[in-house]
Amino acid sequence: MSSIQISSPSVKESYKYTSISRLWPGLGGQNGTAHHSESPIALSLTHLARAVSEILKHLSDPLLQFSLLPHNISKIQSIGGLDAFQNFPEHLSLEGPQQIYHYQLLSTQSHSNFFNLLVRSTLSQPAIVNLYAVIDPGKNVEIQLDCVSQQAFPLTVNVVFVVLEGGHLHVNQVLRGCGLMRCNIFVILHGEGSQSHFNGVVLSGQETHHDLALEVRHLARETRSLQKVRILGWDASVSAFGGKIFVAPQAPLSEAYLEARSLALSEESFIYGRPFLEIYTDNVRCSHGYTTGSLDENALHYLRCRAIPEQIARQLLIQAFVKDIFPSSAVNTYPQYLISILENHICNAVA
Amino acid sequence: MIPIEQKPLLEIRNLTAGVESKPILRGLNLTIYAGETHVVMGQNGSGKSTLSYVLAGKPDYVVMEGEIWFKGKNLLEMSPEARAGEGLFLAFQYPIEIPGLSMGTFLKTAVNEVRAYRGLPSLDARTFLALQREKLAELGLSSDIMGRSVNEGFSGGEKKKNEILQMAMLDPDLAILDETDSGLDLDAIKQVTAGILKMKNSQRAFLIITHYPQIVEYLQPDKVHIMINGRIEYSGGIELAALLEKEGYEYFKLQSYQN
Repeated sequence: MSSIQISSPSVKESYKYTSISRLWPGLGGQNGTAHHSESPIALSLTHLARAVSEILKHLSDPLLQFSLLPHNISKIQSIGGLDAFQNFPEHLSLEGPQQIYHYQLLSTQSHSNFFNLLVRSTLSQPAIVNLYAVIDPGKNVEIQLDCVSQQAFPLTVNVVFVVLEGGHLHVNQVLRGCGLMRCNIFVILHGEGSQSHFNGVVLSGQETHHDLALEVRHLARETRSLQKVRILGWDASVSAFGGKIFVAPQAPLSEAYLEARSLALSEESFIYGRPFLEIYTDNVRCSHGYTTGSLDENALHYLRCRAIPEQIARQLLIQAFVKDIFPSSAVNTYPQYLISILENHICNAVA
Repeated sequence: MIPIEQKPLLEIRNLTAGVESKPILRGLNLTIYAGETHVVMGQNGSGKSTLSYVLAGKPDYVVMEGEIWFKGKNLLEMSPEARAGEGLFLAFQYPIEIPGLSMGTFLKTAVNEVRAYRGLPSLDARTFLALQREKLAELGLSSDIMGRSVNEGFSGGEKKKNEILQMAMLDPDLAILDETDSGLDLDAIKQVTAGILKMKNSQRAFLIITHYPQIVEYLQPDKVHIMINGRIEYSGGIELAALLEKEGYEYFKLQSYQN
């Protein structure tokens, strides 16, 4: 048995919340128009079941269905509002049992082809956050995921993206905070010609344990995915990365690339990495690679020879190491949000 | 002609240095005054690049004996960034690629750090851009490189010109150019040389490490040195480079052994 209660924010603020009203137009908005709401909206089991069925339609693997979809839910509450920008305020606290579910059917009710979604979950007690999103045929969706655990509680983040025919998914993610955090990300390229691009950064420090598990499943022909992951380990932190590319028999002419690199920034930090490739068809292009190392002393010396003090030089190099994977975008400024988080984190860590 | 009372800009006395416990430089002496251009030539492995790294303060190079004085200060007591702030610049033989760090950010940080070291205010964006445009144009570089990562994907010529661009922006008192002419085509050598010549003045000195007499011809240095086995064995004018081109290093090595 599990239920969730979310207290109303104690301070008025201007966040917009995305509701599940794309799945259930009668909820959380009037006639589908956008609005702000700071009150939780209670959803019945019927509503949840409908959401689950939407996701299930796109998950062909029974094992995956079982492991990712919610069980034993008696009650769920969510925060209302309708917008493609989603954010939990930092002072939001969870008082009861510890699961949050987000469901997004991105772009189904819009005429636009391009969407941005920012999901930031800041939690102050043990919790599981689940995000399920379906990218409609031919739509471009860019998602920024900022996963933070604020105290030394275990936090699990489960994310499932299902990309339909010709859909393009671009995810930028930062995993950070204290305590034990596990992030499972499944990208399911379900439709022919669908594409995904995942950029992930793990920031570990002090005595944190951060675990990122990424699985990209190519289930249709001519699908394409590119995964880039950077891990920074400070202090006595432990980081683990498992990256798996799965190419199904029905996915010929697909391309999949995984490139993960990590920097051990102290002698006490541990970083584990395991890239996997599972290919069950011919005529595909795939590669995977993982490296671990320390900061390039030659690059550090190069910057210092240009009068840049050692501490600033280290900051610049570490920032360069992670920012390298975030492409500059002329049409989208949301990655800048994550980049500023990275810059601040690195400045503080190096200082 | 150097006035008698002028103090050396750089003075190296009996320098023995190397990597770990293996000496590469063995009792090297060199004195450079402001306004001079010196060229150091030598075979591969003779210690030319080691000299440049020791001067720039590369951490894995150890000074076992000797002294280095720069503008009357003990260079060996300074960090690499302090050396750069004081006005020592090294153009690297193999410029480092730094993916993710844009040239614009890098160069602006470097320029403002040098200015901060010298007690000058940071350049505002407008002034910096004007300076950058001017220097890029002089070297025939496109302003596009400022948006690219440092040296990443640069051609060999672009990398070397980028070093000269940094030199021009940082306004050093002593510029050490470690085989900046290597791997450049004739036109690029001329452009790089023009950049150096434009910066020559009575306050600034150059120490140019090269294998090729061509750049000696272009630059008309005040002194040419030949390095053998970690020491400067021969010093002279540009005629020394001409003799070297004619006779080769073996001739000088033989002379050295006979002496």
